[in-house]
Order: sequence, then structure tokens, then C-alpha cells
Amino acid sequence: MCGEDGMLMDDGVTACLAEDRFHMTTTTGGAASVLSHLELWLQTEWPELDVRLTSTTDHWATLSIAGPNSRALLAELCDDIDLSPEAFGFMQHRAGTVAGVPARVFRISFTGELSFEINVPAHFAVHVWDALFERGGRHGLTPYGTETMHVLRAEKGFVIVGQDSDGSVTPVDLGMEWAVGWKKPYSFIGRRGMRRADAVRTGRKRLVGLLTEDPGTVLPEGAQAVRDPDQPIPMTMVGHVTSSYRSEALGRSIALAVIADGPERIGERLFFPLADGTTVAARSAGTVFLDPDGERQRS
Amino acid sequence: MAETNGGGSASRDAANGAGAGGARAAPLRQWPAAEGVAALSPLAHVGLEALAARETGDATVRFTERPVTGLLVLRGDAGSDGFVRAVREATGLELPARLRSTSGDADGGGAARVIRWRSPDEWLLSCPIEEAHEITVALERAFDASACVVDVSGGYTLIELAGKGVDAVLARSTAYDATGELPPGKVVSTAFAKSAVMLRRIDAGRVELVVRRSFADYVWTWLQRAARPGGLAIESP
Repeated sequence: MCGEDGMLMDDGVTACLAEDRFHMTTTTGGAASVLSHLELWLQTEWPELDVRLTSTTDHWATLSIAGPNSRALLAELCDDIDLSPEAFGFMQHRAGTVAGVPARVFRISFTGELSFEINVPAHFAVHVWDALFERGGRHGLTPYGTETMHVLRAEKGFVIVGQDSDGSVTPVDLGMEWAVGWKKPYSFIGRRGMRRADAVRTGRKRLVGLLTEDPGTVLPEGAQAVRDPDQPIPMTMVGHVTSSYRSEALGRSIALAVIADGPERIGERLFFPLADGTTVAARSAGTVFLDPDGERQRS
Repeated sequence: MAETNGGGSASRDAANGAGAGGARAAPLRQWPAAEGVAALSPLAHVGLEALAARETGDATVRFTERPVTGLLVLRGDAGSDGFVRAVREATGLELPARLRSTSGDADGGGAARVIRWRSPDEWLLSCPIEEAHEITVALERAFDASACVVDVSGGYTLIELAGKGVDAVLARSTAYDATGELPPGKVVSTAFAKSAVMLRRIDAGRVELVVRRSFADYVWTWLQRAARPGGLAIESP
């Protein structure tokens, strides 16, 4: 979702429940501002659309099970949804019963793994959690926190709004032009902003992956990139690190960064002079470090 | 319209009787769960039942939670006869005017159906949770495309405060003048101890708070402090 300026303001998953009904998720901290944004446009510009919004933030509890065994685990607790990949594909949803509780199950993934997000009324969430862990042992179930989630999503190049973007970044800058409906019959908020001369000029900072030359070095988030490490101060800064972690799956560090014209210069050598006087060298790379064809999440 | 995506097998919604046709969404049945499944209030961890058994002497405020209540958000045009009639026929209640509530029984509290005005095109209906789905289905059938009803029963809990100390607690907790500006039947959505609640005067001695699930423990903790020195007595729902 973009503002009028064409800059990314939030992201989430929107599901079509019926011809006239949609279920929209946002970033956790962005829910109230997205609701206000939508209300503002409906009330001031498009009242004739007769669209009604209702916050369900506190109503739904979402339990995300991710990993190659998540289908087998869910199958033990759900017998009224055909979970086979042929019947229930990636980016689809189904209504059914999980652990005896009325639920909506979404096949969406922020980890890049085969994943099911089980939505239940919040008063039933503890029951479903307990049922999952009762059955989960044999499937290797373990809880994971946001730090783990951040690493898993960075391995896949999935951005976090407000971390990899900062209000000056368009979907095109993030390599997400595939998500922009240029051909749809209506205009949309941000369309014009994305086409401003400044939004399409060369030299914009755009998202790339980074692999440090020393795989053991984890770049500090916020570190500034330069192309010439020997340039005297003030150096020409061409971008900065937005996300940086050690990836256990890859056995090395990975980072995401916004770099001027970065996607056109994949493989270039970049330098990160740090406050302690040392300089870290890295090569730019694509943003997807793991499972580039998305076979896991679609399996 | 059955709630499936991408042409998969019709799942639970077929069994809901929700596939009856028409262009409107088929409401997902969200109650009941299987036998033995506990529906937990956001204050379940507090152990209110045990606290209710305590001797509390002459506490000036009595606290009662109405846990796991049916809650539906209605959105529509108050000036539309069809919308007003649909609400009346599906709920047995008149749509309340600005800042007002309507209630299904003289008592006005407890498990009665209550509709609270929330904004010029938005109302919150509470009802016994067993009734929430039937009311949702009835409203969906009666509403035209400009109105909607959404089940948010899991999203809030209801707290009732009673006793002579209530006004003092409210005075400490909110900038709103709940003594002078909140007569019986009036509803306001306002800041309450830095959280947001709906506040309704049930009758002279009783006030209801509609509290978001994620703020329930905070408000509960706040109320225990705000009720000092008169004391807070917990009552069983």
C-alpha cells in the first residue's frame, strides 16, 4: 500500500472472502494508520463506493505454522479441509475446523517455508496453541520469535516496511513492481507519485542483497555504503544497510541494503566504513538468498 | 457464496448453510467450538472466580466481567429506512441515536442485547455469544450492499463497575466528565487511562466498559489501583 507520493507505507495480505468481502492484514504497528488512511479516502473522496471497514485486529488470533512438516501437523488437527497442494494452493485460503475450533486457514508465508496461518477467534487461541504443541513433538515443532522470523524472511528477501523502507522508497525501488497493477482499469493511490520524474530517475537507492567478503562479518544495520574506500572524507555515500543477520541456514552473514542503481550493478564491490575506523567489503547480490524459485513455500 | 478460494472443495461453509446463494458474503460460523474447547476471556489468567470468593468488606466499587460475549459491528446509513428496519427485525432493537444505546431488557446490563452508537455510521451490538451467528446471518440477509455486519466477539471484553465509588474511579481514569455528562443509556468512546474504551452508563449506579482484548489486562490492573482507597470487590459474572 502506497501513499499519494508513491512511497510504500505498509504491506500485508488481502484475501477475497467473497465477491463483496475482503480480509486485509497490515503490519502490526500499521493497522490503525492503514484503517484511518482507508476511512479518509472513503469518506472524503469515494463515499459513493459504499465500502464499509471494520477493524478485526483484536478479534482474530493468528497461529502461523511454518516448515516442511506443517502440513502433516495441521492434518492431524483438521479433517474438513483438503490440505493437499493440488486442492489448497499457495496464496489461497479455506474455512474449516482446526482442533475443534472454527477457523480460516491461509496458505501464506513470511518465512519462505511451507506455511499455514490459522486464524481463530481470539478466545479459542490458547486451545489451538495447546493442541498444536500436544501433537507437534513428533513433527519437530518449536516456537519461534520475531528475531528468528526476521532472519528467515531476510533469507528470502521479504522486506519489512519501516526497516527496509523509510517513506522514501517506492515498490519499484524494492523490486516489487510485479505487485503494481499498472494495467488495471482504475487509477490507484500512488500511481501518479510513482511516475514522477524523481521516482523514475536513475541513481535512486534500490534494494539489493549483500554478501560480505568475510562470511563471518555481520554488517551493522545503518552502515553507509561507498564505492571508493580510499576517497577522502566527505566520502560519496551511495546507500545503506537496512537488514543484516547471521543466517544459520546459509552458514554465513547476509544483508539487505538500498544502493544507488544497485539492481543494475549486481556483483559490484561495495565498502562500508564503520565508526570504529575499520571498513567492511561486500559484494552486492540478488535479494533472495535461499530457495530462489520459491519451491518450499509452494510445496 | 461459499468461502473458498481458487475453486477448491467447499468446506465448512457448506455445512453452515451459508451457501444459500445471493451475492453477499456467507458469514463464517465462529461459534460454537467442539465440546470441551475452552473459550477464554482476556482476563482468564486473573482468576476472577477465586477473587470473587474473597471477603472484601465494604468495597465501594464492584467489578463484574461479562466474558466471551457476542459482539457485532454494524455499519450502515442511519438515514436508510431499510437499514433501520433490518436492524430492528434481526435484533429486536431500535438503532440508537447519536451517543445513545438501546437495550433489550429493563435491566440494561448482563447478557441482554445492547446496541451502542459508536460513530455516525457504526454501532456495536452485544448479545449472548450463542446468538451472534444467527443475528449475523439475519442481518446479512436483510442488508443491502451498503451495509455490513462483522463478528468481533473475540476482540473485546465487557466490564461492569457498580457502587458508590464508581464516579470517583471514572474521574481518575478519564478526562471525560462521566459524572456530569454520562446519564443512563449514553455511550461515549473515549480515552481511559491512556487506552481507548467505550463507556456506557447502564443506570445510576452502574457503568460498562467495552475494553479491547489487548488492553484488558492493563485496564484490569489500572482499575485495581484506581479503586483505592475505597476498594474493589470482584463479583462472579
